[in-house]
Amino acid sequence: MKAVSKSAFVAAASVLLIMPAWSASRDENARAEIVGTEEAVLTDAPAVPPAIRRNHATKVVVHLEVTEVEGRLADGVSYTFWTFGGKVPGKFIRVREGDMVEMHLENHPANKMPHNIDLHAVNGPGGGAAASLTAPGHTSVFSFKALNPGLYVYHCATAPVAMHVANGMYGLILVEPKEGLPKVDREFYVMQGDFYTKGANGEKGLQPFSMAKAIDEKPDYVVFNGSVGSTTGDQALTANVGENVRLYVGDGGPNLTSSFHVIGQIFDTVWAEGNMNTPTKNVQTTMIPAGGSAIVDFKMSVPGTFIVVDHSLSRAFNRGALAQLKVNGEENKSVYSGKTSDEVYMPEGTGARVAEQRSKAPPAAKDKSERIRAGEAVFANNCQACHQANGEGVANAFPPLAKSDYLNADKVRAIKAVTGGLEGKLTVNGVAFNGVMPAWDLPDEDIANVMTYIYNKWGNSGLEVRPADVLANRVKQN
Amino acid sequence: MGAVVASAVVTALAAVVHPTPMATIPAGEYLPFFQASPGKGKTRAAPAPIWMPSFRLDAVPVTNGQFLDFVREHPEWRKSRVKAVFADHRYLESWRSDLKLPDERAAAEPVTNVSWFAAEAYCEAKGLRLPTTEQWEYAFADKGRKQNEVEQQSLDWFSTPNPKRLRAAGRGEPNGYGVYDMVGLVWEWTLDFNSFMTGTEQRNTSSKDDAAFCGNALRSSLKANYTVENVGFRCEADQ
Repeated sequence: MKAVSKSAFVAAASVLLIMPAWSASRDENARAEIVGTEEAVLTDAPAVPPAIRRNHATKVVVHLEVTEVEGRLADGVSYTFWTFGGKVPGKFIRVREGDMVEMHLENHPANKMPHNIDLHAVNGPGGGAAASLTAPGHTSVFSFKALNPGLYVYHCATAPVAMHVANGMYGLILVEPKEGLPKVDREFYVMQGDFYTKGANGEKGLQPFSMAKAIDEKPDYVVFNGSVGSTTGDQALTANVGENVRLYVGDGGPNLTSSFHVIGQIFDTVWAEGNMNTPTKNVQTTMIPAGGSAIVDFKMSVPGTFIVVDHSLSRAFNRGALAQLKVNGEENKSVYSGKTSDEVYMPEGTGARVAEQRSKAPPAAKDKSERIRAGEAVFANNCQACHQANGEGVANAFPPLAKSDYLNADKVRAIKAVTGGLEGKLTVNGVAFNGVMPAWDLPDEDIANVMTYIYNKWGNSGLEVRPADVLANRVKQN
Repeated sequence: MGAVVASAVVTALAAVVHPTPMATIPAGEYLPFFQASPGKGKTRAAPAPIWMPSFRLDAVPVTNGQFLDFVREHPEWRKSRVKAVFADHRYLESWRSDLKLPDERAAAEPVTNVSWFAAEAYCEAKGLRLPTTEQWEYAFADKGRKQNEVEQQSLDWFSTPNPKRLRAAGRGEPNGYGVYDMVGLVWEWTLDFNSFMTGTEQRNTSSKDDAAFCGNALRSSLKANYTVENVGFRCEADQ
């Protein structure tokens, strides 16, 4: 009998544990007594303000200054960003459910435009927009009670709305549940946005906003944290093996949603759309609506560089939606072995055909112009996906072939690179890369043709590579 | 007869004390930039053009130098004397004192940080007035130019941050009516700036979200005593 009552107690306790304790009701939060006042700690991405340790509601004063600033959108490309706090995305705001938020929207006197703010954390018409329309040189104040816990987008809602948002006027406000979120070792702020420029992707100089492209929803850039390469190389996110990492992810749009994914990492927990009540486990890719958010937690099991992308991949590899998380620590070969061997694969019955194909050399080009023509097809099939049709490569990922000092300096080295592959640090035209190019197992003729094609395009030296050069210098594969 | 005389006198007076040449804007048809939504469930009839009578408009925005002459003659509009209900604390902010410009160059630059009240007082003192929003738009979208060109000109300007210092007024290319700096230098007050209908929540309308809205948004954010670093004005005279 005693045993039974004990197990009943255990059952009841476990029900309590399973029941998400998340969040008081909206009415309870509306009634929550406000004790004291504090100034909000605001941070620029990728930093996140510290967790809230208070166990009561308070008045949180937020001073958000709107500035219109020229800044870097990509290498050689600048843009006039309209910002909440000087950077894109806007300042991260962190409050607790039940708090009274007093919002001061300060429109810098040097600004050209009026601005306002619509916070998705607000229950009220326009999310604060009408209450905060502010001329340059003025400040608007309004307040709201944080009734619903969650991770919310805020943005400017001044007409034309798509233009204000496309210029970078968005950010995140976290309304923490009373109980707080599970403790983690590192928290980061990442926000995606799409940009529409008058010139095409990569066109240099100060690029004005294109209303026509915005209306067509055809962005030239899709980026994390306001620019191509904002969160790569020296600016990459960092963590150590064994640590739990949390990303607060928003999508400012104005138009595109995000198929948010970290390459080589499964999300242990996702609070989809930033809702606090139904965390899901073991997620590969989480969908983030434009004007929406997600919180993702994951534990780093092995070291390495983990690439953060919008898994609509042209956005990642062609338009900039790519960030890096660099993780240091001990290898764990039982979790991930790395490459343990590389041998020739000879499927039963097909080996002969492959051999036959290999032995059948492509028709020999008669002269340089024929070589260039044949090389174009080889390029399209093998090289273009990374180095791009215009030879410009992809910033922070794939080096340019156009006007490439690396290429033009040394033909033999280039032949060895193509036939033997490349790995690790490499500087091309003064820009550092750290990636991998596979070895290309192609006939001498093909290698000669494609290299001649490359050498005669995009301002390169114009030399010809002959099959004999390739044969003499190629890196032998097994 | 008396009215005709009075108007002839005013014109003559304006010619004397307002040395900036005025451009004559010919009469014609005009489609306002912002077309109101027809309402739920209704389709919109083709917007009817408005007949715009001929008028004259300052060829360049009013400069600091011209405004200095005005406050010399009208002490009530000097920085130290202006009433807060007519101009906020940033009125003529860059001026060193009541009658002192920041430097010599400033005299040729457009006057900014002037309130609507001050701008209208300036125009009235010269027998003129501020142009209406319709007149302003009509003069901006000059003859032969397409709506999307006009819109792109606005967007290009919106996409450039305010310069540290404004350039002198009237130095660019004039438009087809001989008017300078309509877009590309400063915003300008209009007589009826606050008559715009949509108010401060502009997403209620289903109208196209385009460049015309920027001007409307700014107008909705202003009050007549506000002074803004990049808002100036020019004057208008009916023919």
